[in-house]
Amino acid sequence: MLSETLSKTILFAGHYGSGKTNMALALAIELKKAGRDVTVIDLDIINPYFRLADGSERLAAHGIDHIAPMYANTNVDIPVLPPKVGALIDSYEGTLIIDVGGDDTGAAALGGFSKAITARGYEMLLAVNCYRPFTGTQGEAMDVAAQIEHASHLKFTGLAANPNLGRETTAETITTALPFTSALSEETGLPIVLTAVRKDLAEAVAPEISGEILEIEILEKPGWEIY
Amino acid sequence: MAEKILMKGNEALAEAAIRAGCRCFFGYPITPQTQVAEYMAKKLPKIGGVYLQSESEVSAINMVMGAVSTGARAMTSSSSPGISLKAEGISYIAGCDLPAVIVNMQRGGPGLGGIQPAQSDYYQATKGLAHGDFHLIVLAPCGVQEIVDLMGKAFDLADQYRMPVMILGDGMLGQMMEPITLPEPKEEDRSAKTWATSGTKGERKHNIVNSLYIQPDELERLVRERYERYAQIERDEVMCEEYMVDDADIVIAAYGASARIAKNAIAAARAEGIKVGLLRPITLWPFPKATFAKAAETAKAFLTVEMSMGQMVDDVKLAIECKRPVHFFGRTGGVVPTPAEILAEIKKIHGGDR
Repeated sequence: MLSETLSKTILFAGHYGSGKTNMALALAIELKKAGRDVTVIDLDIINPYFRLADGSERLAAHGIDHIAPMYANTNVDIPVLPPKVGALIDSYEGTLIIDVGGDDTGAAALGGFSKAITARGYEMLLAVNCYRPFTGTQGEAMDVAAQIEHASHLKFTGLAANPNLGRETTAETITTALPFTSALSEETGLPIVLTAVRKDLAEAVAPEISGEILEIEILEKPGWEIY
Repeated sequence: MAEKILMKGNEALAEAAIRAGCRCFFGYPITPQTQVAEYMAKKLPKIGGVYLQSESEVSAINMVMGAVSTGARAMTSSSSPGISLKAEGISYIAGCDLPAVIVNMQRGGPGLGGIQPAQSDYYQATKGLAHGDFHLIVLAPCGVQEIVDLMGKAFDLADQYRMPVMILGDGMLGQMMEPITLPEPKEEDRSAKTWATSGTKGERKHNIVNSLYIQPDELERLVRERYERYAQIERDEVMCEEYMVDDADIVIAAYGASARIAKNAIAAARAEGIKVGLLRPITLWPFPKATFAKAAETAKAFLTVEMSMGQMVDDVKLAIECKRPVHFFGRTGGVVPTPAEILAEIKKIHGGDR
């Protein structure tokens, strides 16, 4: 159970498009269901699309607080964070899940909070989808990780594997990627804290996966998706 | 590690350009296509290429002109307002008979507009991007895989006909992520570019790249030569997807992202017994006139679906010589139409036909 193993400050960082937001959303709901108080902080100030706010209704439905840059989902590109972010990191007693912007550029927003986060104690998970460019080899994934650590002044403590090919993901897509994640774990010394799996595939791949599975629910299919 | 890879449209087009032998990218960031520049900035220096963020779009297109003059495969990318700034340079490239690839990931306009997807630069791309008698070949992909496939095609067409080629996408195609397969990398081949200003080495007469022709007779002759090439392109290079057209009473005309949405509306309409098909121009110039004319022989009505106020409607009417009614449904300003909205339009037309 992730609720028994995870600390009360979990950060998702990594290459953009690696699934940080979806994992943060799913983990928040899972921890809430397990009885924890959960607040999610959207720290992404570089990407105006595909944001945590897209899932804000789901978070609200589960009674989870959600703090976002004040211009998130307004189409306005102004990188400003609300002062409450600092207050929460300093003194929030529940579980904080922080969704960091992509790459080192996105992680720069984290740098300013690094002392407070270090004082609070944290787990920073490297979101990795080996089917994405720039994280398709261990060397590339480690480069991205090093750049993020440099920008954020924080260290990764584990891996959040999210192997998927979007709508074409099958159980095989996931199992094929497992050796990659294991090798990356050995190479970096970072344990695989969780593997994200689409809910309908969880049962099929569960026997293959060592460690925790985070079940991902896919939001309603958009109209431009061709079936 | 895998054959399939999950990429954003913007990333995929950059990678596809590199694999087509493009080693020169000049651009200026603008949402929603900035990932093209980001990708190029990361990749090109590692493989002996040039990535340069210019001080403006105007300088970027002129850098492209300089690079392609030497025979190199070069490109630039922008979104709507940035393309307007590049217009002058594109006209010069056309006037110099140079090959170049320009990407427009459209956003809402006019003016600065917004950052959400639109298709309101259709007129600009196909009719009047800038001054002078000239055309661009305009390619309109409708998914990430097709972006990849058309990127290589764009460079080939540009070289073959010595003219600018535009990939006309939109913010949705640039931002959406899809599993794709990439082509094998191709080496750039400059051997056929005998016109390039690549250095004479004292062995040949120097080449001149120029668009200034003071004598009207000479300029007219050059323009007419160019239009002979355009006529050949209109014969040989038209691309159009025909989807369930054969038995269709209503034919939707849509390109790019709108066409994907239309396909879902078509599925819903057919489930209710209304026979709807789709013609999806992949080349917007040259427009697939013959394909539309053929469809007009059997279809009762056409419905143009766009993320604009109806900029493609006239081309459809001309192609079918107004033999059938051409209806229009569109959203604009960055609003994306839904399959349900399109289905409602289909039902209105279907009801009227009875």
